[in-house]
Amino acid sequence: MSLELRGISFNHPSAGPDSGRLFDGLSLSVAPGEIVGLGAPSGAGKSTLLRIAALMTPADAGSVIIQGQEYGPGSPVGRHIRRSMGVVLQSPRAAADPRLRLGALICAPLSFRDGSLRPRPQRYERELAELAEWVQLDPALLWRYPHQVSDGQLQRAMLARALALEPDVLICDEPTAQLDPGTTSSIMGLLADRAASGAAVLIASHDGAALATVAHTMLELTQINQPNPG
Amino acid sequence: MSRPRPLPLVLLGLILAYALLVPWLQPLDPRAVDLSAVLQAPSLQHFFGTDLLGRDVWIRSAQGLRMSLLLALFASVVATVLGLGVGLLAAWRGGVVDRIAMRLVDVTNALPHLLLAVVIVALWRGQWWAIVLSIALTHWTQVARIVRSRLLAERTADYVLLARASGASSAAIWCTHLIPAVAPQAAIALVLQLPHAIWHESSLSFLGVGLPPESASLGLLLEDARGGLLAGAWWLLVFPAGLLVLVSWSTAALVDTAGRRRGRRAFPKLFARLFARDRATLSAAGSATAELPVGELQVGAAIQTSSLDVFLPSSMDPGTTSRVLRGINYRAEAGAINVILGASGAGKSLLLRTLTGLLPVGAHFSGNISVHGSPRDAAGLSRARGTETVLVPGSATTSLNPVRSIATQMRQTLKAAKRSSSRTDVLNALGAAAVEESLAGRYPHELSGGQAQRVALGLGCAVGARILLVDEPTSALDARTVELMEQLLRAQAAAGITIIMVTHDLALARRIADYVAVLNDGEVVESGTAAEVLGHPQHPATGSLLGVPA
Repeated sequence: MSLELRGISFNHPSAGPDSGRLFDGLSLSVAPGEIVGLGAPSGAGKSTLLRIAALMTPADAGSVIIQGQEYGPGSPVGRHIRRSMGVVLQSPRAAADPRLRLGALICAPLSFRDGSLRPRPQRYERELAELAEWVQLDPALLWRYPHQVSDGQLQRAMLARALALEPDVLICDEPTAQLDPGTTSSIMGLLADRAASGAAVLIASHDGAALATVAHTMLELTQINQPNPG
Repeated sequence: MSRPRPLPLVLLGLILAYALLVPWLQPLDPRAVDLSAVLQAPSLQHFFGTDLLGRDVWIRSAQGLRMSLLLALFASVVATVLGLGVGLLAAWRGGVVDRIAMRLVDVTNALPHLLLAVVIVALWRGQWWAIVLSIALTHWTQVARIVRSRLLAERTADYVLLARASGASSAAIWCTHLIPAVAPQAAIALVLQLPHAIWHESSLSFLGVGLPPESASLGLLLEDARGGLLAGAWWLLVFPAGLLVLVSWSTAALVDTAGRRRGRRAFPKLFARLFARDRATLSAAGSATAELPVGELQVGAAIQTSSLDVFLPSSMDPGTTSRVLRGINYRAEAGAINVILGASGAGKSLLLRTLTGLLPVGAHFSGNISVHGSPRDAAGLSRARGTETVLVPGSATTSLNPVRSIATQMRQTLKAAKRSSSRTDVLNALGAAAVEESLAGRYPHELSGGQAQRVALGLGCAVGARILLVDEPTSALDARTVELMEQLLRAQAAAGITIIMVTHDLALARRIADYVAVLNDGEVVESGTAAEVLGHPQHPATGSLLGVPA
């Protein structure tokens, strides 16, 4: 599937009228099988842009186009479209429900797809083992709660969750920020594999070197989008 | 985690046993009148004496207590279910439904509860369910409010948004995330209603609109006592009233401890706790920093541990612990930048939390930790936090207080450290951590991850502690901002502050570190000056981290 952002404008609600827009008419596109790396100085709006692309935050104007289907601010998004998208957020602590064990967190998309109302880790033992191996997560950690694991371990669990449904669009916000260089390169390899099987992959990272090893295109969100630099 | 206090628990158990066992073991027909034994004072035969009709007050009180508890339990359950329903509906549908539900709550709260209850009970005189209904209809509002506001907060939490973005149905989100989030609150609300409902039932019966007079409830017994009191029969009043007070106090005390146990989610709010503590130890903070001349290079260890083991509660078996950090001999040199490296999950963050007395619930350590040369136990490490040590946690977005602006949080921190907190000082302190002036008025959710990290580091520096422990300060920062952070940390070190930093950023470590320790699978495998460790790694784990053979 392909992912395209067209003419996206966005501003923080409390930023005030004089501080200007975070984005004004921003466009980018990711073809199937392509990895686009997004670099930017801190505060330029990487996370916000990724949330807009993941159809989590509505933009003020502009549209997100997934596989030719256009979604403007407020248009309904079908569940099958959402299930074909994998999303990793910047802060794994906020993205993980503190009341669920890692195994339940990872298999939640699988369970929900199959009609369960609660995650059922015991039904997906094989899938969980495979996902844990992909992201190099010790299977023993699947029984722990988020507060019992480190940030890096939790972020890998959240990546496993995003990969659980083998998504055709993968959106990752700093997927390797908490990881050591060795694990970082193997996670980047994992994302490259996903792209090789036809997924459109959009990754934001401040680690330009690691990103450059896998990304086909590097984009820099510059201060151009912020009319009020510094 | 505070365990339930034993006194209210034991007391409540005794009261329940009394209310259930006595009427069963010593059955007494409430209509059995014994005029030969009227108004006898407490004795061995009649523990609580007898009433105007010669009935044993010990047994009558037990019957009355049992009835009061039963009615109260019913009423609390109905009130909680009602409140839960209204709260869920309001949060789920939103808009008009929410407004109508909340106005209904306001109207119900505005009505005089007792009057409403009297009206309902008077319509169905003497029916027990009318009493239950009258209490439930006036007590559901609090639950509805709690449930609604909790749900509104949870609904915009990242994990709920993420679940929705990955195609979870609304029903699945409710069952998996939202209901479990409010369930504990609803349970606590239910128990909190109990003493309330007991008092309400007693008031109704005392006013003569409750149960029929021959049955027994605490309120009826109190009403009976009116006649006896004039004849000097104090026992008629004292025993039922005492039971009423005891049962109310013990339930409330139990809930109080239970309320404090909802701690699992408190973990991300570590940072808030950290600064809250500073406020409590204001004067101590002032004097501790005043004693040490700023700028003087301290020689020796700021923090030293020997054979430190840290045990975390096992997730498989709650009763046991597993040793996660093993035999840590670590030394952080005073006034220097001490970097701790290690693979993900090696225990780096845990070590920082151990050193600042912030171990998770159920965890403990053995071995020695000394701060500035004096040995500390767990409580001592907690006390040192905010005065001698300060921890800047890694997950900055979840560690900042979500309801205060950045400038306010900085002002509070400066005030707590007894430093001047004018607008310029606040902006300067933020500026030191490369936080632009335009961000000062924003709230944490309006910051990017990198901005939040800079704010957190700025707040940590502003505390004015001699030892700054920093967890991954640059994980979400671009190269230019990392440089600014570097300058900030160097300036702190130059001012004599000891810095202990955990990082994955090897390039940063190479530039900034004076001393390096490498943690691998819970053990310190290598430590020394930066040149030694990074230049000539001895241990295979260090080699694989650095990408060179050891």
